[in-house]
Amino acid sequence: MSTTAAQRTWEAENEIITIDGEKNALYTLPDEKTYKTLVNDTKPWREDANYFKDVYISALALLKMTMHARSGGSIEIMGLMVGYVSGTSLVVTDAFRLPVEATETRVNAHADAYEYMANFPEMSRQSDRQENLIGWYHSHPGYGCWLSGIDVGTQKTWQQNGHVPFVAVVIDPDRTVSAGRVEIGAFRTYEDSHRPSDKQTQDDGFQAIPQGKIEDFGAHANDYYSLDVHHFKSTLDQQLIDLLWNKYWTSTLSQSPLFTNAEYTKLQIADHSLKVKEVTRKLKHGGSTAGPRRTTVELVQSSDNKSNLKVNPDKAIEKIVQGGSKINNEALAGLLANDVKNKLFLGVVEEARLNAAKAQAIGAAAGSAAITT
Amino acid sequence: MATSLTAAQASESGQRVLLHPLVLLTASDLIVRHRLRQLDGPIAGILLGQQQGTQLTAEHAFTAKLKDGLLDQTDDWTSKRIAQYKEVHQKPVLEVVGWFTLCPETGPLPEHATLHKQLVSLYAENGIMLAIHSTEFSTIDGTKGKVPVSVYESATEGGSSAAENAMQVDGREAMSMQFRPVPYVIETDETEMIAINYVAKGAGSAAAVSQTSQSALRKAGESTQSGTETQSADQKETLAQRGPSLTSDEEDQIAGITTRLNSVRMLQERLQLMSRLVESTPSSYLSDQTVKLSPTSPNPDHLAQLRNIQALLSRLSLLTPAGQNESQALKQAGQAQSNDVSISSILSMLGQDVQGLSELGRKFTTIEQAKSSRNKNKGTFGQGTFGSMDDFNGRSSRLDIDSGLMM
Repeated sequence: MSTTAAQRTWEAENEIITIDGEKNALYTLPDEKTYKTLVNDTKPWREDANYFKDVYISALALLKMTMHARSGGSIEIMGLMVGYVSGTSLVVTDAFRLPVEATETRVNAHADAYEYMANFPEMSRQSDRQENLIGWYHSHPGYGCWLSGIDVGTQKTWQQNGHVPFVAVVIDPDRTVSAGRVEIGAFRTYEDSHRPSDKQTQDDGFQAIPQGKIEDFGAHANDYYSLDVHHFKSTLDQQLIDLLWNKYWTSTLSQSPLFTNAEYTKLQIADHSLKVKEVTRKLKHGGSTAGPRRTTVELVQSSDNKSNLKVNPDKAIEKIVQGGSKINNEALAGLLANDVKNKLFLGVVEEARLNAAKAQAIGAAAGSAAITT
Repeated sequence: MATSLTAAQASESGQRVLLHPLVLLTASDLIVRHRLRQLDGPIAGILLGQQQGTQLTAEHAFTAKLKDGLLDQTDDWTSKRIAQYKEVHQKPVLEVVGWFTLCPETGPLPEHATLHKQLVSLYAENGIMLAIHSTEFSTIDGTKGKVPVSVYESATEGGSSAAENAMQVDGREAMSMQFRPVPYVIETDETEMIAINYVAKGAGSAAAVSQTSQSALRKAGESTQSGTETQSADQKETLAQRGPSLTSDEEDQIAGITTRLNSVRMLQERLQLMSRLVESTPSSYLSDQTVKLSPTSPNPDHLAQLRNIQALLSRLSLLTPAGQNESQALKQAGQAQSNDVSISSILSMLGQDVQGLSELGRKFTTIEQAKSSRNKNKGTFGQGTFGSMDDFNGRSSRLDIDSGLMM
């Protein structure tokens, strides 16, 4: 605690910035006591292997991990993430690198790294980060976001030993650059006893996996499931990014997203149609896709008479609908860009000249009228 | 307006600073957490980057631990921390190049000077100070285009340090050090731009998860029975329906539209600038041919700009192809594109309708089953007497638990 007047002036600078607590709620840590109970005693994820459904990654963590992945070039890199648990989601607030030597096929952590893994978070805690480890990330340069056999083993160890649930994140820096969007995936493994037998091999859709890796992919594809990745940023981040992006206003106005993203959109639609076919097939052959265990609609005694019908949303259909609307939104944004461009640039000069000529004609007519009278 | 610490003239050292967005994001992350979690002390961090000749890059940053206004050196904390970061930043090798903190627009405060001196003497010879202007954040205007930061370097006024020491008052850290503003440029590399673009596009509001999960956590904390899971699931559903916050799709759209709006505003500003230039040309020259040209009358510097403007206008007019045939093709292509987009809209709405229908069907089946089973146990009024169904309103249906009524 600083006590001198000088430092108070310095600290007074902090007060000037106001941060909206509600809009930036993810940046606060959950209440310590309830969190401890959740993590040490309740542990709802022990009962349900599919407990966690979503991962929320902060803009800072995402940027750091992507840059780290890229800096490794064709060699895999590895790091750790910190954050906390929130309902059925895992929130990742920051990430840091590990001094790990990676060869082409495996990422080995040796003694130095273990020491780093212990020291770094400890010093972070002394500084300004109270969060615990929440996961690890590594890169698959050029061969997609999935877990290899070794990755599955690593993740299983983490999930069994740690107190707090762990998530594995994979980034592909090469595909990120070529696609122009961050290729990222988040996964959690099943324990050996729990391997779902009816689960289909993850259809990676348009992510073609190179021949050399496809065996590894197929062999372990049922050992884990993927979580939905979302990202979040603070209102301050948003302001900064808006400012930064004003530098690129010329490219914003001149780009044609429908045209440049045509290839990617095509692949997305193809992948989407495959998924729709799949779900249709399942629905036709009896039953819902929610699995035999739970009926999808239940009558529930409820205190208020308003919601006696509990609907378990059919996850597969939900996913498809969301995928469809995502594709649609991107297309609409592209169309908006085109419209703006047309209004701004197409035929503008012609129109202006016409208007000027009209104005002149009117002026001349008025002038001649004035003369004649 | 400058404090006594800000030098009057700009930097003459020829130092150029390349600032990466990651540094700014790190700083903003620190600020948000500091304010929300109510941490102590001033906000400050250390910059990592490379120094190549007169060019200095700031690529990474991390929070600095301060004690009494100086970098914390107990147990070599700061040195150890810097070593940790250097260990993982080898390709390319990064070093300490400066530090950042919150600072008024008028310039650095004396407290900043003391820390800066410490940093420069211990870790970075030509260290820079990145000043983040707190007041400007509250009045941010998307079109200004200027990031509210300044970069300063330290410069000792006048002669050598020996002469300065002679002038120093004994004991006190003297004000002989001045801060000189240094020009900086925001520089991004490709990956950084893609990542920031990705984060910028999805509106990714940081409020979304908290609503549902905070209450879920509270529930988990309070009740000790099992079945908290189903309770929290219910909470999630009701909260999701209730909240006035926008869905992520809507936020995406808003973000996209805002970006475009800002770009258009920038364009408008530039256009206004150009039109002011044209209007400022002596009007007599524009409309009246008899006025003689003199070497100074239309400003010769402006002539080049005027030529550019004319070229721009003639190029613009070429955009719309003259003649019916060419413009038809362009129009048709544009029409085809918008048709495609409309098709995808219809399809996605179709998908939503199918989903709604299937849910409707399932609800109906369930209720029918319940009714028929009730008919079988006609006498029992025990648990679960189900009555009529009012009407279907999309997702939330209502059942009147009224044993007598049955429709």
